[in-house]
Amino acid sequence: MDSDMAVPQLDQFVLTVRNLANSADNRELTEYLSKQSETLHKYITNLDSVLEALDVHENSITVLTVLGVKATAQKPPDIPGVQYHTAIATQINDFVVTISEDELRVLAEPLANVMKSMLTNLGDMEKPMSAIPIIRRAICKLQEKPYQLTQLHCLLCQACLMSNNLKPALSLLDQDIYVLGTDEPAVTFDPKFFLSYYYLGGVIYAAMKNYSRAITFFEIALTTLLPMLSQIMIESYKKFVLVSIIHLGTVPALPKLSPALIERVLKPVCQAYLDIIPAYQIGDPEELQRTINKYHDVYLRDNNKGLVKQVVKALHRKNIHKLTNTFLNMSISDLAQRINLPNIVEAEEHLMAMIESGEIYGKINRKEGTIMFNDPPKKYEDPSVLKKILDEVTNKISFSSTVRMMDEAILINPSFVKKTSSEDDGLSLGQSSSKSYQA
Amino acid sequence: MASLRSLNRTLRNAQAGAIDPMQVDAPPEENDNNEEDLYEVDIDSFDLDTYANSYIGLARIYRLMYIADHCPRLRSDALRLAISHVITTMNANLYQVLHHKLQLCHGNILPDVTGANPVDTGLPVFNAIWVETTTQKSAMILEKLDGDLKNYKSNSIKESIRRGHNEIGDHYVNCGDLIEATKSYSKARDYCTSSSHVISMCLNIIKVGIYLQNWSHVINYIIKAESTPDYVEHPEFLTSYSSKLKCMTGLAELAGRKYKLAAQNFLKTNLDYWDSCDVMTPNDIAIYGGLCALATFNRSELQNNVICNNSFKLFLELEPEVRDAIFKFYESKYEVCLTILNKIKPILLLDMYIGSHINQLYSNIRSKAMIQYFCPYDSADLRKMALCFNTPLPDLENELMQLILDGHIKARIDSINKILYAKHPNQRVETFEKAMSMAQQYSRYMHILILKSQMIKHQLNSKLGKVERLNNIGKTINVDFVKISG
Repeated sequence: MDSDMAVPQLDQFVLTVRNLANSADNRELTEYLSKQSETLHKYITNLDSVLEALDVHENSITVLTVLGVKATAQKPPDIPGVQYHTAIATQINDFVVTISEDELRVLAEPLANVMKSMLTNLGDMEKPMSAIPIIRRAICKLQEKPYQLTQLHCLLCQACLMSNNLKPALSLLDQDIYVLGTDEPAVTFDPKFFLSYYYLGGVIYAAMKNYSRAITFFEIALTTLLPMLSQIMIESYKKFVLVSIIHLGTVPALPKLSPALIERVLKPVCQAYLDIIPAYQIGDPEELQRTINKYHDVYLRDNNKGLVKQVVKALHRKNIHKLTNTFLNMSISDLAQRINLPNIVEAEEHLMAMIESGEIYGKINRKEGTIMFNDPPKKYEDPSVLKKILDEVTNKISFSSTVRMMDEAILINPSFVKKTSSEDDGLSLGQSSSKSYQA
Repeated sequence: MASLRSLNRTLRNAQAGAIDPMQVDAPPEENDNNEEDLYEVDIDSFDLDTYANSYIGLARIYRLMYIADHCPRLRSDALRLAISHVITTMNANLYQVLHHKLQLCHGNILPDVTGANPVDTGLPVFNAIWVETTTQKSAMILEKLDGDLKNYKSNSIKESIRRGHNEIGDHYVNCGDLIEATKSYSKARDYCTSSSHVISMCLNIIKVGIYLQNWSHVINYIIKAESTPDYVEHPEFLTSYSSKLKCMTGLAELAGRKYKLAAQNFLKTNLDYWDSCDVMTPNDIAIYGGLCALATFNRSELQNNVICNNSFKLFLELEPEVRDAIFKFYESKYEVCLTILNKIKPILLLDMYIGSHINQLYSNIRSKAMIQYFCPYDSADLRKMALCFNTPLPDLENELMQLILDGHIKARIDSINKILYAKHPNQRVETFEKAMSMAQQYSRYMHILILKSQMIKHQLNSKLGKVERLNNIGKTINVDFVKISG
């Protein structure tokens, strides 16, 4: 590497940013950096020397910008891709490790962008797994409290999905989020990070078959941003419908934040999914299969085929469940015939799977070929339940008081009052919705 | 029914261009149920003549046509009878339609326009001359009535103008032009001087509305008649019109599949003040009211409103089968009740108003019988039950399953020993589960609200370029990584 070969423009660049970093005003530096991006792209091979010349703590913005340029720029032809991109990842990792928490928090959004390009590159090199620890480390540094959502959460989910390794994301997803970004009033949190986090989180939970969490996540993605709409919300709605059918058998009503909007905008685009609902509820597997075959291409295009397959399986389970409510016992052949299964063996498999997972309670009598359904064992009868309920109740009470406090804080916020009185800006949930949404 | 409707539709379409400005509620196109099944009835003995003679006017012809449409065996007879009645009116249009149908019915016989050898077929001959003269005659009468009306109008005698309009309306009904009839009748509205005039105007329109099967129109005018100022105050109006209006309401509700409302209305009719056979006979009221009540009322309602209802008893006496069915049902002799009902089913299926609802009503009655049968027991033998309801065991099991799933019977089936056991739900567990799920739902909603408030906060912070930024959400996201769900 001829890194010592001096490039006058870069020397000039280093000098200027050092000077600018000493002045208190950040704006000048930012402006200069954005102007210089072309120069940086031109001398892509010499950027390492620039990084060496800069101090991470004093020139954090510049270092990050240079790293960003490295990550987005065309790879030099003489170095193999894997080596090049892993090297950048290591550099980004070093940056994250050395920089202090406070310095990093100011740079959260640009960092997210740099990491996104890094992840894309690593994904192209088929090594997305190596991005997970780097992103995790950065999240830990960015977070002040565990219930904070950072701009990197969605990237971690994406990395996990790309590498088919979902476990690392779960510990993050299991923590409920109450605060977006930092509490500082001046910093804005871009809704796109929020939406993609909840959408991807829902996808991860759906893949892990934790359907109730998945429904919660999709619900949040769907309703929180109303009356604005985005493509992510439409995708969320499709998955929301499917997962709800699998888990609950029906599609629950969404929280009443802006139902009319959902009717008007989401339903027409998701007809292929909504048609499954009646077909599923009739309970006839053939009818359901017909509907699914009709929209096969749509599901394929939306990458929802796997979930649709799960719907078919769920229908058999639902039908068996129905039988447990109406019958005390029955022969397995009768059962297979009633729920339209081709043979006894398959019916028995379904039954065993359901008994094992605790969905139904029963015993199979192999000798006579019958199944006996039992009542569910009695629950809620010991003191521990009382404690659990009390805990739950206190939990909910404190939760609701938090909500009230937040609500009051917003109501007395002077800028909120001014905003709501001066312009109708998407804050009133019902009426103004029609002008500001876009699909 | 189908042919009737198509006839009405052509009528309506023909008049579609010219809707009287007076007539505020223009008849909506095809508001009746289209899913009505086209069934066919096979019946051994049916006295068409007696049946036809209990009705008059258009009702008779329409009912005969309905029978012709739904019973192949009686088709030719019914049509022939209908034609003989059409001849007494001036409805040349309907005459042609009926003849066409009759010819279709005897498809193998070539249409014999000349009428050379009518003896061979025994069919009534298509009388082209009658059609022509009738059309001319009706045109002449219309002209005369119109002239009279103009005369009245120039003299501006309100009562005569009203009569003139009504006469034209009657004439249109006689010719089968129901849309024009409605128009003429409603034109009389401006010349009504007393409440009884208003009510009779409404009744005229209601009658035509029923012929047209335009039920929303019928209900509108019933409400209009009932809200006429003097109607409530004067007992003589109330006694003379309420029976009629109630059973018209019942009919409209029946057509709208609101059986309980229909039953309640039919039960309020009184035979003493019954005078109209235009639409239905007292026998019809007994059948309609009785069956609807049987299908929808619970035990005490049945006891109080039907069995102990003295004025309705008079109607029920006219239809002993329906009466017996109701009484047997109340005495919990379901087998007898269901047998009686099944016996009269073919006749009921030929009724133009209740025919399409019979299957629904019967299945309601059956389910209700099963629910009542089981309610006093803790366990019941399915074999005995099957005997009682006259069904094979597997079918009974399916029926019970449906009832259990719908929550009407709280029980579970022992499919091996064929016993139905009442289920004693564990209220405690249910309550706990309900409470827990409510709590969860509550916190989920709260969570969403918190996030929403956070979102609003951040949207407030970004003062500039917000709209553009929001427009970009989603476009920056690539969805291609979602490949795991398989």
